[in-house]
Amino acid sequence: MSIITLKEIEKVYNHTSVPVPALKGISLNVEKRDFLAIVGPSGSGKTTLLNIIGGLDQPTQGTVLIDGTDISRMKPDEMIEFRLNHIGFVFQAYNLIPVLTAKENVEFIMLLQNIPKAERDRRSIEILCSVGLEERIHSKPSELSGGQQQRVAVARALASRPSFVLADEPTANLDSASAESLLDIMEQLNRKQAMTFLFSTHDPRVMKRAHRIITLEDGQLVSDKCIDTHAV
Amino acid sequence: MLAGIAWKNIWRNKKRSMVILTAIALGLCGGLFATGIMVGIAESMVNTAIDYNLGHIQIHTKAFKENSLIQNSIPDAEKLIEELHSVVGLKGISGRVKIEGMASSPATNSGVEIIGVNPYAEASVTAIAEKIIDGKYLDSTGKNSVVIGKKLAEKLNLRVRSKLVLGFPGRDGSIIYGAFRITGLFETGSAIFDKSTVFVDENDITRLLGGTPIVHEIALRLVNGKAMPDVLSSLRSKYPQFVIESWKDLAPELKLTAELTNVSMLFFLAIILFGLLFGITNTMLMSVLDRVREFGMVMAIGMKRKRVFAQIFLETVFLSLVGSVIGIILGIIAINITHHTGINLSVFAEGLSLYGISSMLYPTIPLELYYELGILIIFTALGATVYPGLKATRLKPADAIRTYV
Repeated sequence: MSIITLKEIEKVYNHTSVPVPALKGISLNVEKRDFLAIVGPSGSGKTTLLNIIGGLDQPTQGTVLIDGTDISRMKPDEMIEFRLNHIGFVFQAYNLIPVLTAKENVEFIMLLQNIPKAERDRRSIEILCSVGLEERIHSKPSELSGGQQQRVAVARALASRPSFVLADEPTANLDSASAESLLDIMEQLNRKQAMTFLFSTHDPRVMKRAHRIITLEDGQLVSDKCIDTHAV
Repeated sequence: MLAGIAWKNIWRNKKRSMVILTAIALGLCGGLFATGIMVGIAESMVNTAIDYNLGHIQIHTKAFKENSLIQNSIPDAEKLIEELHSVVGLKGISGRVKIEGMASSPATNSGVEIIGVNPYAEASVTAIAEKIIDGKYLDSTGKNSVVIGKKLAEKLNLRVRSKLVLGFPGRDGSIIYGAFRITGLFETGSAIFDKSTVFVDENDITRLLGGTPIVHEIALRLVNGKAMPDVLSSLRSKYPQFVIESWKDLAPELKLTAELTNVSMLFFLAIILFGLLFGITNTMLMSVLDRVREFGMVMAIGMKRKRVFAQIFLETVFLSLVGSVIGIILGIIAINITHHTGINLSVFAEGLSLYGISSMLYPTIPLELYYELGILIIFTALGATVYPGLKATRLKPADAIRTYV
């Protein structure tokens, strides 16, 4: 079964005054272990699509099924709870909490899940080690490089044990070495832990690594290419 | 952990936090000190009345309360006073003869209340003996001695050792005159009392009146004024034939002043906190607006709105509490220092004495006011949370995470 199913998704902004269509009839299935990049020029609807898949926005029409649950008409608080337990987020600007250490940032999401302290400790250290930050566990974001901060963000996204991770332009603020290193880690997590990643990106480095590339233009899905054997 | 994050967050912008902390601390310190002064003034008025005239409890006959005639005295007063010596927590007891009369000097005359006392017993109830500013207190050694207020002496144009004629109604209604020698002048801090009261030895009054000694009023002074309600109810049940009243019954205006002062000062502090509420709200609002992206992120990853609100509430409470604790500590220090040294208001002594306020002021604050203040602070923090909290929880995560401040 697909972990994400989009059926005829339409998104229109200002639909009561001057309608601005952002997505037009998008249908899509994302399978477990996909390493998928959503690409397209600015204004093509990448971010809107990512927001709708991530439950941060609701479609004007159509259905979004995540793990078989229709999230397209969920109430805001139900949606927050759903995001907490099913979706991991990695943002372009890292968005770590500056007053917390790397470990505390990773723990934070587990705190929201009411996971006991001992389990939080164990899991946060384990995940930070898996992204190569065992030496920087107690460092605050201001003491980390951009690449390291983004790795903490990946660790935080994984800490809640989500069904998939949505990464919005994750390499946009990183130099080449950091971007390659981050993609290595994500690819490894995809391969070893079967974690599904969806990227919204302009970055050719990400596109090169993606197993499947979906191209949007003017809110329409214009191509869906599988690059390797893992993809559908 | 939420509390830990909230605590760390208030120190993210140290300058901003320090400005509001200083405002809260100074506001509360100033408010508490002003409250201490006002409560001190109210206490001074009460203490002046208790110390120089009323004592804590007074006993009269019902007839005397209705009509203060000379014959409405307490029967078997000596025996009653003897019994009253067994009251637990009693500091002193004084039987008084009280007669309305006229004090005359060669210059003029003035209506006065003549209080005949046993000088030693009276000294255990009131502090008149300690307030003699010229001459000496009654000592039972000389006949027809009188101590009068400095204000009355000025009015009658008399001084220590001057002669004063006291006229008052006798047992049969005829006017009795007696010449007295002024042995001392007192100044209590209450101009009205000093202008209208004279103290004489009860033996002199008895001799002038003829017949057996009489007592119109028994005044009791307790070691601790807080024991007054218990003593009062016990005396009332034991001696139902008498009118037994506390200073609160005898001077209801003082009771009202004391109670109103506490309430009005609580309002005063509430007004200060209400003003500070806007400052705290502004600080928290700036803090929220600086962290729009962060709030968007936490809501995106799964932090519920009520938890976001709770975090802002905790930050506001911490900010308010830190400022309040500093302000309260500074206030307590200021009040304690001035409570021991006193504040000398002798420049205003003339005016203050008209209201029975001592020119040495000792600021003080009742303990319960601190509890009430604590509750007000929590409500202030809650009030200051509302707008920033709603602002944060109404953010749309999708937009907020792409906001660059």
